[in-house]
Amino acid sequence: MSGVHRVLYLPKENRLRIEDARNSLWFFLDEMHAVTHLDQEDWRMQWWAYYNNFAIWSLIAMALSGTYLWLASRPRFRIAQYSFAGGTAVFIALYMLTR
Amino acid sequence: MYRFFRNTHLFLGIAAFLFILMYGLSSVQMAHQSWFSMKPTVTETRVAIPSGVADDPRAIAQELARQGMRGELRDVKKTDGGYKLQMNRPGTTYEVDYWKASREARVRVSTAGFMGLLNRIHHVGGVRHGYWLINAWGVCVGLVSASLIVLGASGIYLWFKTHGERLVGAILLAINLGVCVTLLVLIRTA
Repeated sequence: MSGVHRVLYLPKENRLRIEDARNSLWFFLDEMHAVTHLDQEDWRMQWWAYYNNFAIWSLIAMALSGTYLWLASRPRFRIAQYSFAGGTAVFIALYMLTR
Repeated sequence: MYRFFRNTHLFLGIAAFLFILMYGLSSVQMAHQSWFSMKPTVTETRVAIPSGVADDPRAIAQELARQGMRGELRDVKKTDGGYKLQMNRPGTTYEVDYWKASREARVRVSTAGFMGLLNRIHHVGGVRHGYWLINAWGVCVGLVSASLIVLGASGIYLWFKTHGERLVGAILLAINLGVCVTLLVLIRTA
């Protein structure tokens, strides 16, 4: 995830040449956000996969509970109704056009 | 200020509700692939290209789009008899074999199911695609990504202003940041 170590054996000099090709931080974060399979060989990656799974379920729970909190507390708030209708309409329209 | 952040959090959150749910569900699908069947429906059809249409891939793609096969033109290859090309939109792929001599295109259509489509939407990014619909998704997911950052930050601010829940919130936030940053540093420096 963080990069590649290239090891080259130089027989004439009887030495190893080690090149450390490091991924950029953005590339690293992009790769890390996709680590979700729980059967990782490295314990750090396995923990990260559990953490990501927890984050996925949390995201769904936050979306559902947030909408519930709106409906339970201020369902008649006009601008909130427009926001919900607008966002939902855009998603459904794009989905239908894509389908 | 509290009122402003509370309203911003509410408006952004419920406007992005379905997009966030799409990200969540498609992430579950990617994390647990055995839970879902992702086999696409594959059909094949032959399309006659009218004689008025030019013999180049872009014109063929436009003609196919006119007949309802919409997507971004990709992977154009010249073959002995004509062209091979692909047209994509999230969830649907058209693999086209076109023969110049007969002016006929054989089109293999792969259509993903609901979860497959969500998966493809999850991966949409950028606004420089050759098909406007993918660019429209790109604009939306860009806005939703920015909204998620604002939602996270405003959510922490709103919690911080709720004095009765500061202690438990601080403990959870500290554990969360501790685990997240420690793991990232350990993996980055491994």
